[in-house]
Amino acid sequence: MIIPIRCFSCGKPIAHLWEKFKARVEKGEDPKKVLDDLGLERYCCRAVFLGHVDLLELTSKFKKF
Amino acid sequence: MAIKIEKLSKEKEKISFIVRGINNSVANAIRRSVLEIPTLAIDTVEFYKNDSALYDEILAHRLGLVPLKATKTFVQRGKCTCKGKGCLKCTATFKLNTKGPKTVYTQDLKSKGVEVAYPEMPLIFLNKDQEIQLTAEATLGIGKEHAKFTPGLLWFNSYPIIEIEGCAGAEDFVKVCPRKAITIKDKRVSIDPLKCDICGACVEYSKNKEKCSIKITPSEEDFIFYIESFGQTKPEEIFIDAIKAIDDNLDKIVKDSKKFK
Repeated sequence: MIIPIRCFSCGKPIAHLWEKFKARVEKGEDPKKVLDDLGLERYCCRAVFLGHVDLLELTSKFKKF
Repeated sequence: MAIKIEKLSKEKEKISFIVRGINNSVANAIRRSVLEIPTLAIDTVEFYKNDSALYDEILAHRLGLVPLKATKTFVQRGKCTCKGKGCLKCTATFKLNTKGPKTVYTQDLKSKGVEVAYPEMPLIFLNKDQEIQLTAEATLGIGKEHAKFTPGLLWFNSYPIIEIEGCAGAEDFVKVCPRKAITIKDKRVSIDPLKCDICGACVEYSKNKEKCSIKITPSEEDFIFYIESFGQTKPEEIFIDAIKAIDDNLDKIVKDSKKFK
């Protein structure tokens, strides 16, 4: 949906890194290198980024109720 | 033995250091007291309008997790002179009034005396004509109440005591260590105590070798501390605040035990 504010497991704030990550990976950089640069060491935080799909923009076109 | 602190590394949000001359229970008490440090976080949210695709509860939960930096000192609500009603000393109010199409970021939250630690966190996406109107209240709380009130992570491990006998010219040791802590200089094996995590791979390997013994034991009085801040405070302040939290708790016990006299 939208990137979580914090990592599910360790609680580290991660949302501010998402747009940097997305822009760099779309340019064709290796996700591993980008995650290392952003300072995400633990695999819990890394998994949040690798598994995330931004769907909120699409969902917001439909009715909520 | 005298207590001594040696700094190892320091970054903006991370710090690590060795504390010598304490014991395991003291180190663990400091670690556990991170959950008792008063920290700011949004507690209640009142919605006037929410046209976004996310439900009120989801957005309120996201707001709660946003790390907040206090620019003035706050008092815990239970200890405040307003007796828990909520006043300027113990509460910070936020306002958010925006209209799409755009992504709403944490920097759009407006308040006095508090700023967000990271201004670029996306809170929600609004499509054309979608609107959000809300007010939120932030208070001080402790990590025991909710994890959003923790200022960071603190963990430690024992400093390894390494004893190496013989093992001259054993270059194959370098491959054995999964942490790459072993180096060989002038045909002598040496292990970096800061990289070693006492896994015992080299100890096992040395048993099959002649004239070679490696012994690694975790120290019971030296500890390596690692602190990671979530952005509300500096990492070194978390260590000091945790110790203050133990101190406050012990003071309460002392105060209460005076009844026995």
